[in-house]
Amino acid sequence: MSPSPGGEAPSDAALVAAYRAGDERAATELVRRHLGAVGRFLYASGAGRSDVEDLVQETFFRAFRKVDSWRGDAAFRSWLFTIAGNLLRDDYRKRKGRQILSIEDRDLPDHADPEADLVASEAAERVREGLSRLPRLQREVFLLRSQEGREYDDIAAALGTTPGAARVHYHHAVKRLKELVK
Amino acid sequence: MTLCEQLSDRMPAVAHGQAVWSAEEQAHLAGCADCRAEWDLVSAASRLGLDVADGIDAHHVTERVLGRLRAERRRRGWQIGWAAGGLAAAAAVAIAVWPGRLSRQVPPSVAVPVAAAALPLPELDSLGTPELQAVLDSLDGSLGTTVQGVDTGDLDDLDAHELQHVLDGMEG
Repeated sequence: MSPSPGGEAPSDAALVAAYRAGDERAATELVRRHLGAVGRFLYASGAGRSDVEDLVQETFFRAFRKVDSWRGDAAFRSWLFTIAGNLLRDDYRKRKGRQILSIEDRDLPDHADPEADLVASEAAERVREGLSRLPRLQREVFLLRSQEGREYDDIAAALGTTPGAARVHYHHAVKRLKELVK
Repeated sequence: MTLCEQLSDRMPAVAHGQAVWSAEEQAHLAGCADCRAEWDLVSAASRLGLDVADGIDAHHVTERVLGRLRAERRRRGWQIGWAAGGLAAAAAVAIAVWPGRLSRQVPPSVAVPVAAAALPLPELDSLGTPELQAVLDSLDGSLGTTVQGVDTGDLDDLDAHELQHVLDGMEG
């Protein structure tokens, strides 16, 4: 793994190439770089707080196993999100449709302004519950947009749809969430 | 593009601190309930799970992922080694048996140890007891087949000189 010519951090594509060539440090850097975002995505998608770390681990394991299938059409992180989404779906099926969200998993305020934090945390929790009720594509488009700020082109490449369709899914998600979060 | 659409498109960037609302956009946001509701959703989602992500032990996850990948590579290596070993054993048996049947000039007992010794074995150090036993069985099997073949099948056809040659070969 070598830094890019300008001394900047190597790109995800360069790290993936280094890992394919047998450099494990490249994998370590990819995990470090994307771990938090994958964890947030899983949690926002309905994973239990205590399950997130195991699911993150499984996501990266699956990603590195089939890293040759990442061709760079979508951002590496967006591609990781699709793997995480598949994993969550499998996990959900294994639990036979049991609701993943649980009362113990709710955000607990631990900041300086407990009242404001409580309000914010309750709002976030309502959004999370609403997200868990959306169809998968709507949820993932919404999260890739709102959590990651991804453009519709990238979202479409990651999720195997068109930019126009991704935009429609996003607006469906927003409309539905507005009703669910009221 | 309406102002509502423009705001909607810019919400993720503003929520991530990569852009700020213009005065016009801010005024619109204050007066448009629909945009306000969308903004509340996007800004809440952008913060969702931040504390969960902070709680993940990156070192632990990395070690476990790399450990599993290494274990899987080893397993695949063994599988390939076993497949190659099996093919080589089959080839060795074929080489040992067929010349014995086609020509009496080469005593079969001479060909067997050479072929068996040439078997490319998987890395023996890394194998467990059952796997080592399986390797041993395959070697014994390939040796036994040919010796057995000599005893029962071909000896009747050999003359005294050839029989002595076989005997010499078996006794080393």
